[in-house]
Amino acid sequence: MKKLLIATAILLATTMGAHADGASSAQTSADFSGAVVDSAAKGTAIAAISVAMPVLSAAGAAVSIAGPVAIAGSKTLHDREMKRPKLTVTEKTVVTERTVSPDAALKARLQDEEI
Amino acid sequence: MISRILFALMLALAVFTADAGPANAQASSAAGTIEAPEKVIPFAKKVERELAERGALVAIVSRMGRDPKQMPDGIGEYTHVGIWVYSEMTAADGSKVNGYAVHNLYQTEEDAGRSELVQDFPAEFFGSVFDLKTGIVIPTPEVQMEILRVLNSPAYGKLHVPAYSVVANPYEWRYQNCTNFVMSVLVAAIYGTDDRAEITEHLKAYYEPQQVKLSGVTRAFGSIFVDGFATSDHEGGPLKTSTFDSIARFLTTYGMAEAVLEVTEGGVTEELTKL
Repeated sequence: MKKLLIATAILLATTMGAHADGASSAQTSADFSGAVVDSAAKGTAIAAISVAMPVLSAAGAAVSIAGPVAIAGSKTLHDREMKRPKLTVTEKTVVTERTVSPDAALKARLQDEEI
Repeated sequence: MISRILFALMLALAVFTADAGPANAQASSAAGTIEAPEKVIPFAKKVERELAERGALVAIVSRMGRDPKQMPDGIGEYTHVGIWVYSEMTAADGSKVNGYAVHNLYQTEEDAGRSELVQDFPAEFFGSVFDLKTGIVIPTPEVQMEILRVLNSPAYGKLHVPAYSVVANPYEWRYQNCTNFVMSVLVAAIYGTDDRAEITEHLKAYYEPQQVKLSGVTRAFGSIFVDGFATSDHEGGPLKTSTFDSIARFLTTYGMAEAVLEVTEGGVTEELTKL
């Protein structure tokens, strides 16, 4: 009976992962969540590899919403001409300034030393 | 008796596993996300330019984080939605950069059952997706202005519920996901309120979320094994949550969408008529 119960639990856990994306049971949680909605920050790869690209980093506090100022002008224009002014986008790409958490930094260092 | 119940449960799981066959077949594509900066950055810039050309100060932008074939019926193609805001960024070297900043609700790295409000940028938004394709709603200028008011006020933070569920009920505040959060911001902006009870009243009266079709087994046992999957806020009723499509339908139904677009690497399509 006990074995049957354990087997059922294992099968259930494995099945949940399989339905998500067939990944290992260790990844079940994240993968199942991802299979429905992927609400995870994704930019690490970009931030890490972007050195060769025209990329600038910006801290969150340095981002100011241009909207309230611009929208006053655009509303007037919109009312008058029923046309919205085009906005300019700088060619350079901006990424978030990221620092590595202490545990991740130590793990990465130890892995490097093993290699 | 218990043996019979367990046998029935195992039989149900065997059937469930058989159902999961196609999902298993897609496992490799889940790992095959697009991450190369030389592909992601030009696409992100293309989306930025498209919005800027249209003079959009605020847009609701989605991404295709997973293979749609792997997702439950009803979710649609898009897996995450954020609010893009035309902004001026000061870079680390002091230079000024004009473009879009993205305001998101993301699950925390430490705990998939918790979320936080995170601001990142377009290239990061599309940093690891299944396909470089996005659905976009540009709200009318009036709605954009009201969204900006919420973003610039304490109401934005007050609308956040840190307890996360991928299938959160948008009519409840026990759990929240990225799409429900965006809907809450929209309703707060439209009605000029940050009162949760009032927002719920408006949502119930005018907003129809998407029904998510999951097997009974997944629904019944998912929360035991999976962080970030909770159904208790649905009180046994059908699982309904917000999706990009349901948000777009809401805005178009009430004449508050200036444009609904689909942007791919190949081009831009107006999608207003498809909803």
